Amino acid sequence: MTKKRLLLAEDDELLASLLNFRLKKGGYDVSHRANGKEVKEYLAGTMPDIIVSDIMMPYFSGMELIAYVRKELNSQIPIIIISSAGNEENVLNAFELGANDFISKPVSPSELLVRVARELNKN
Amino acid sequence: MKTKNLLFQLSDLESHLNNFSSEKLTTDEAFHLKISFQHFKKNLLEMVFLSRESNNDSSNDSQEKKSIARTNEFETAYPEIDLQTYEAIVEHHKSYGNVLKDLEIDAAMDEKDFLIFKGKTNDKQNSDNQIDLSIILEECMGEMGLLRELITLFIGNALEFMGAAKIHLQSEDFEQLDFAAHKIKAGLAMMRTDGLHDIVVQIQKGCKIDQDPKHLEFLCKCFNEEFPKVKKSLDSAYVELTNN
Repeated sequence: MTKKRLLLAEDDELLASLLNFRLKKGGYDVSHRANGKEVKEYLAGTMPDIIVSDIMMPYFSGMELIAYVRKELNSQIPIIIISSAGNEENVLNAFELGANDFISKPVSPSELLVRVARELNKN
Repeated sequence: MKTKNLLFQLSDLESHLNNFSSEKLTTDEAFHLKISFQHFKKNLLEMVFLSRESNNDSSNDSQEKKSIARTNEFETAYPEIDLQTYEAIVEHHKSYGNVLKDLEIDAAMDEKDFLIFKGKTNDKQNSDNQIDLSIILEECMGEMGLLRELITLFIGNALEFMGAAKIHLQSEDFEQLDFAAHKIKAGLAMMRTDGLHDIVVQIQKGCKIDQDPKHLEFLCKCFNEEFPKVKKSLDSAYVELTNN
């Protein structure tokens, strides 16, 4: 069985290290990108099965990423947004743009694994 | 004696007020002034709240009950006076080179003082001085190498924040300071460094609300002073885990 490809877009190396490790242990083929520019470059060549992205990233925010994937790439792959700016406005904006789920920081890796699996099982 | 102490503290506060120009208040001066004021306020409040019933106490049981009631009354009325403030006062006065240096602060911290701050003391001391890395190690699935990596990244992020904060403060770029604080906040929460996290939350509030450079400078200084202690606690906690 092939591993599901997961794009982790997170500029906080501390959180990314932990999530990267746990997601790989959870059986995913994880690609980590630390800023919006790298994310766009990655998406130009590869379409992952799911995206987990921070909101506040250099060059290209998580919000812009959702819009880019949904409108430019015309893809409906699941997108989970993570951010410590977990206010109502951000959550609503993310969902309006087409995010599938939203997790506030600090993220529990176990919770993220459950949410990733749930989103992938929906499709 | 308490009244005499208050008089000394009031003189001390007055001397601090006389020592600086309102246009050129340095962080140190602001800190000293704030500490003097808080110490005075704390003792004054204690006198107001505790003196009323102190004459009626006879048995140990009733004394304890009344102490708890007084503590609750005090904490309800003045929730902002916590242990951090109190500890800062004690630490400050231990090295205080003025009129208060002859006063024994520890002696002044009698049973009533202890009861007032008892509840918060235990919680705060645990959260400030001890970091439980076992929870993070659990999230790392027992991988000590990953835990070490996370600690290294955490230290790097904190140092980077301290540098960035200094630059943003100098240029009074509150938006960037707020952003830097925002970026480090999740990592501080993740590593359970509550003291630093609280300071960063205050910095963010300061950037968004009053944008007072002196206040923000003071908060950043608090972060800089707190960080080495947190780093030491992290290292100790890691060594302890390694030994186990």
